[in-house]
Amino acid sequence: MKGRNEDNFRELFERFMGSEEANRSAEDIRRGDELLGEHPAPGPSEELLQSIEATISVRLSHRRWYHLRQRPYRLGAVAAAIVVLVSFLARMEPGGKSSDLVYGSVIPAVLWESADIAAEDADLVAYTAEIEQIEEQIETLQSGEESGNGDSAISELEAELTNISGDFWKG
Amino acid sequence: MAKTGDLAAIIAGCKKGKAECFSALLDSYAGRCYGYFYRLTGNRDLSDELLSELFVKLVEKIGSYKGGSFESWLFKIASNIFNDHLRVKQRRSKALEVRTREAKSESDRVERLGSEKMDRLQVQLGRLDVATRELIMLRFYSQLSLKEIAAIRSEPIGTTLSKLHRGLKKLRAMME
Repeated sequence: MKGRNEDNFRELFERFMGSEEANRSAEDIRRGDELLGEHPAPGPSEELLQSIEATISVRLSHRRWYHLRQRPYRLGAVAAAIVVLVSFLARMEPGGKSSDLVYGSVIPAVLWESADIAAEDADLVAYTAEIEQIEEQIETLQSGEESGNGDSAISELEAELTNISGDFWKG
Repeated sequence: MAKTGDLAAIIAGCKKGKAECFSALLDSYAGRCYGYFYRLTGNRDLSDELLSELFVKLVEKIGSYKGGSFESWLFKIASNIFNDHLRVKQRRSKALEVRTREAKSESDRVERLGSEKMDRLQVQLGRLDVATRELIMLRFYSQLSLKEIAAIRSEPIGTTLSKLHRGLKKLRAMME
């Protein structure tokens, strides 16, 4: 078989031995190659080649199916990366500096700036009045001024506390 | 053998998963690779198996081919497949059995090869040690330069040259 591996063996051998010996060794290689060329190996059968082609087709279709199955996951990962990138860029100014975040207060500005919150906040006024009323009722109960067995007063107090709790969580 | 430009286009097609490009590679290299396996094993069925395995590997690994000599890349895989086959074969046989059977099996194998009407070359190749046989066949069928072969075998070029020379000289002496 004559191919592209035509090394200059004489030169190669001369790196390791004398010129005459290098010539002889290069000649050995040439005659060895000749010998191999005179005895070609059998080739693959047509059936084998067809079988390999069929196997390759099956492998390729498996590979395609695998890639198809992987696509949604890859798209998901890309989408997530884009979201992260966009949110990161949104926090950057054109100059590349991170901008200050703007925080919103849940407390209205009127109350925030007021000197007398109790007067400005209507809810607070109502709750304060109710708390005062409850305090009075507790004092009445403690002093035993109310007539009867006192159960009604306690029940009334409990109901009122429940109402206040409900109103509070409703905001 | 495909020309360099054609080969690049074929490999690009293989990377895209085109079956016809793999067929083109098969057309170009099946003969040489089969010759390589056959001369190493002296067995057609085994050579069939190894060639099939090589092309299956090619489908799996073509994405990792990053340029350079394609023959070098291909025959490196072929060499690995052959050596893996040897390792598996050795693992299967127990050390003691190997030792006692070795002498007999070698002569049996040579006899069998002769009876299977193998050519004289195959019979004499069977008498060389595996490493030398592989080196001679790798060079002959891959058509790689000695430098490329030395790189595949991870040894200095002088060592490869010396082993090749000794092997070919011995083979020629046995054939005379």
